[in-house]
Amino acid sequence: MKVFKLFFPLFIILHFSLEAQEYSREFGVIGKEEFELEEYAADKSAEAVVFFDIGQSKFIRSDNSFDIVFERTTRIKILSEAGIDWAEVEIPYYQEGEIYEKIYDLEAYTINYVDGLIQRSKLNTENCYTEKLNKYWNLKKFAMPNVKVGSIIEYRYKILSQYRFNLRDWDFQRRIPTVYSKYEVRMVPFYEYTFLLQGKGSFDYQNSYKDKKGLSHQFGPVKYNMMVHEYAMIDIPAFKDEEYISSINDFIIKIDFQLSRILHLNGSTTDILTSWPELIQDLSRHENFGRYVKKASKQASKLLDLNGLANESPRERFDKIISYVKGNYTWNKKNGKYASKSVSQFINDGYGNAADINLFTVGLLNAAGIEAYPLISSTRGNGTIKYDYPYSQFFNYVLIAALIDGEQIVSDATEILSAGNRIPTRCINDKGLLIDKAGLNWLPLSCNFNSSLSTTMLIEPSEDEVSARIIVKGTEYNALALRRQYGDDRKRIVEKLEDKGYSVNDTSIVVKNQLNIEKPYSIEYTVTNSSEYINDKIYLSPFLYETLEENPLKQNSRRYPIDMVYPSLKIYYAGIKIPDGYKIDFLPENYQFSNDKFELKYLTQQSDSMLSISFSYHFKKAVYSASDYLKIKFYFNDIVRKGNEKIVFSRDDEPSEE
Amino acid sequence: MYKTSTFEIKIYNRAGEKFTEVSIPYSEMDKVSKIEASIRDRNGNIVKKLKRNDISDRSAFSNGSFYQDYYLYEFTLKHNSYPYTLVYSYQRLQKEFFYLTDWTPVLRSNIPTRKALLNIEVPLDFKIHFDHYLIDNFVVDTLDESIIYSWLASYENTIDPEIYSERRENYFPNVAVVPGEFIFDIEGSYDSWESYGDYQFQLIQGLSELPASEQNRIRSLTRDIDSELEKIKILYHYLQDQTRYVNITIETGGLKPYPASYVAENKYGDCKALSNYFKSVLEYAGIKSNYTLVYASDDIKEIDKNFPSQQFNHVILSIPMDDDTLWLDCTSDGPFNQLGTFTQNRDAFVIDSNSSHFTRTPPLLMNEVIDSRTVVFRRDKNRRVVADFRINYHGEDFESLSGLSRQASETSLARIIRNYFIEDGFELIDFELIESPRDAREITLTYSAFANKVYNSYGSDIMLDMVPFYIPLFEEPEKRKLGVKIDYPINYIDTINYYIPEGYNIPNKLENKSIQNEYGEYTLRSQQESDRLTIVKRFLLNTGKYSLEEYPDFYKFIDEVYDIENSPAILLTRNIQNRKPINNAYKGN
Repeated sequence: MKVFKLFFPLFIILHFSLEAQEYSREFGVIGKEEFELEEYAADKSAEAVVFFDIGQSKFIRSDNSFDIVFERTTRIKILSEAGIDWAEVEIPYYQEGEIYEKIYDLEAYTINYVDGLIQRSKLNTENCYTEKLNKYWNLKKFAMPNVKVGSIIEYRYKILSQYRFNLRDWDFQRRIPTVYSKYEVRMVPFYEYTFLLQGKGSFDYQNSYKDKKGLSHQFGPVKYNMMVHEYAMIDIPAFKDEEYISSINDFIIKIDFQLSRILHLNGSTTDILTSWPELIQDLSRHENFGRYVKKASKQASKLLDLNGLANESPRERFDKIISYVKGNYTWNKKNGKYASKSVSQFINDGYGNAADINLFTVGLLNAAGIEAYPLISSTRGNGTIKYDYPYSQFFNYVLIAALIDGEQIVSDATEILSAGNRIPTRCINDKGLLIDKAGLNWLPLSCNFNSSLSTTMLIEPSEDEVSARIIVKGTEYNALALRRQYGDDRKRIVEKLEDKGYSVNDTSIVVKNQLNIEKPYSIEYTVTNSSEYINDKIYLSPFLYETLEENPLKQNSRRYPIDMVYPSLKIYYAGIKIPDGYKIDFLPENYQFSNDKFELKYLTQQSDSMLSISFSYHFKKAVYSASDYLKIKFYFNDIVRKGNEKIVFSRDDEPSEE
Repeated sequence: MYKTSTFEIKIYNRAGEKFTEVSIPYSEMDKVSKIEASIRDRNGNIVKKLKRNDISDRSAFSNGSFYQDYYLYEFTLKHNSYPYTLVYSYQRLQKEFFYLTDWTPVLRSNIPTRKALLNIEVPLDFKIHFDHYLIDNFVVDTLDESIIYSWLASYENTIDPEIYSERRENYFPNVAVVPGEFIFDIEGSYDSWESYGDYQFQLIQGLSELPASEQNRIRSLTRDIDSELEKIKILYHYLQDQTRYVNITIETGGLKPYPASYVAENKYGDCKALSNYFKSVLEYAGIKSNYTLVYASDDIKEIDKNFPSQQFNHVILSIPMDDDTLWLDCTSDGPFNQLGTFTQNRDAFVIDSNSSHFTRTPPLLMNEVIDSRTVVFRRDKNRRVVADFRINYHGEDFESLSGLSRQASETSLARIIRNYFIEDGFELIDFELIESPRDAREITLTYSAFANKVYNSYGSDIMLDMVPFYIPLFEEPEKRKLGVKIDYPINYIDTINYYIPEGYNIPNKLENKSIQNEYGEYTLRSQQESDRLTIVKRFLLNTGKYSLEEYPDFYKFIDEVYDIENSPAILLTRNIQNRKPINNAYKGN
């Protein structure tokens, strides 16, 4: 990840050939080539192509400050029917308090080439609609007129914004290919920004210069010229979705801008978060963060028996407080790093977002004499943290970090089915930043311990039916998955088991530790299924419906890492009673495979009347690189193959030895 | 019209907390006010009240809509000690309406309603029509200046969803009340279907004018065509090529179409706008068509004919021909004169001046839904087992695949095929979707895949697996609560061709199967020719409705077919004559 600072003039001009494909880049001017293009040579599957996407952010004077005008001009050609979706355009804008963004000068045309004539259809702006997404964000939407395969659409608009903290970001990449994408930022010397380029090492073209051609401007006593920064890329491929990736935000090519410093007229400067320690300071003092934790602390004595707690060990105090919060407050499924309401409101409502709940918990822990801090993080859907880039906007979540008897524990009180010292899978992502003024501390939030699933089956096959007692036990994230999948609701368990293909006796179901979350979860049940009895032989799948039946990886190749979230060990043991009058006719082969990424074992063992088979596999890592894809796919094939092999029993016609 | 709604929901545990998240829809045409909510604890004491600030507001669009002027007020009010009761109420003011209410006092099909009360108060001279169903009590009270109608209902025996079932709504109490006369954009009346038809007819008057350029186009497209059918087809293709479906609903947008000129200019519209536009196009070409209302959904909902009212959600065109009727869905990119699974075999209300009437759309027949599949097994050069599939789809699968092949990008098409159209247990190598010519009602998918699990070796035996049909999994008779309703037939045909490895034979010939009854049909036949074994099987499930009493018989049929389809197919054993010399040769060394 590269970080660049913009405030010293960079006269770097990178002159790659920007002439790969010569299409017009001017609104309203369209050449023959554009009309003639029927498929995009570099990506023949593309349903549409962006000829150009040109953006500019510039500062303009408002009464006694600056506003920002963002302007965008885009031209897209629709190449197939699937591409017609690109003719529905959405422009998000923001309105909150003093920030009142406004879209204006919107112009849009559909251009068709019909019978040798160019036909332009103008968007009637009466046919624009506003969708209110939430309290702050709106969408301006329009559907382009007269669109069919072969249409070229182009539109331009401006957005006036008072929001200087965060200049509009620019996505160079879309889900369709882009021939030319350029972003220009014209800055005044009173605001400094840093930018961050993701998904690519460098731009195809980059230039920074002082605009001497334009008039010089005056703000108070200061005369200045605009600083212009230009960034361009050519022939950007379409972003193609893949299954099992963490988030599109982690991979798409884009540039982000952040305000880093304000230079005042009197010569003084205000740094807007220039370092991680300063970010920590700022959050510690923030009304809806650090101060919220302190206020929660003050409420603790009303909610908890602090004196009683004082007699208990730190571990017990921690556990009790976490379960108190989990038992009394519900998560509203919203992420967030800032509290959304006051402490008293939260206590009264009994529900809140992740920050309300976890910051509150940190406050209670502190009140009970436990060293605990908020830990800000980014959830899986939100992308990874940029370590070189000390801005809070990349974080969207806050967790609890507590020090108990010298051990660092990370917790999340929103997840009632997880143990007190565990976080839910949505939070397993990279690292979190400890908000502790004493120093800079990153705590890993990846998962490198195993979650195991062990399944024991005692099977009695016969000619008519197969009956089995099955015990499934899960630890850690496998336990969490089982708690969510089965829980302790008998009706639901029966449904789920029937969906798997079993006929189940519901009085046989025993669930242990659904709520005792520190312990492994287990579920036991007895099933009967019809037997596969063919030609006097009994065919039996020793693991019934417990093992994986399909390879989850179906693509032939892959470009992004395979994220399995946590390492997982699965063990299956089947004890099979050899049916009376039968002998083993066929047994699958023993098999072992092991390397640093993966391990698989398949072992059979036979005693007088019993046959035992153990089958286990272990994905040793949580994340595998894209180059390992074919290996991982192959491992899954092995898992499916060995897990579904059958045993055959045939009639034992030999007289018994007795 | 003022409507006041009050709810009391008792929450017993955490799983019930989703019902504390309340959404109240409104639009530009009906304003909601006086939202109040509170929580009563187990003793009936009010412990919390909703504050104005806790209510948020946002747009709400249904799926597939580009824009609708619908909004939602949302709030959450919870308590942490169970059980507790959420009480909330609000008032709605509707200035124009064509329904007084369509009241179904059921929160969710799995949540009982202990008691529900509907009161409607209207002036003495205000005429209403109503229809009620599964109601506990109904009284009319005439006061000095008004009449109060009251209905009492409850819903105690909750119902879970079941596969291919009659509509669960049949078990919900319902009261529908409409005004005798109403003003919704223009004046209308629900006194009879004819009067409602006239209202709809009036609503689309004056919307048919087409710009001159469009008129020229229609003339030039149909200039030398004599056959009326051919003309309609050419114009329908023109409609499909030039316009697209975009759903925009504003105010009376709910009922009144955008004018034909709007579609001519923008080349898009919703079902009403596109139907009205195409009706105008046909009219200009001298062909009369009828604006026709239906209730579109996969699951057929019968129209309550005894209750003239707006019970439809879609508009299509019907064109009476000499000895037949043409049916055109103007939002469809599919074949000419073919209604899909969403509109087939149901009541259709044909709008015409003074003669609006009901008719029925044609049903999908057996041969219009057939999915026929050929699978050939072979070994590749690395001796892995490969299966070549060729599947010719009609009906529902044809609809979704041809829609996807037009509208989805190549990447998503590949993802969907990979995840939903490849037979379970097969590892895809490559596929091709072969489109048929325009207006054909079929599409063909071919693919090759490794068959990792079909040839299973057990010592000297090989067990071949069947490639099963997808047989829907019905509930066991003891558990089934609802009758069966199958809206269009299922018709599958398979030809599976296995190779027999050298040195193996089939000791027991596969038994032919044939089951035939009122529910459908299943047959299986096999034939061996040198080293190939071919199995031809067929499954047909008829369109039909079966009561719960008949269900065990119906289930028996399905279950029998399921068992045949999901047991291993054929046992191959090693040919003793072939094996011995090889073994001897080894021994000889």
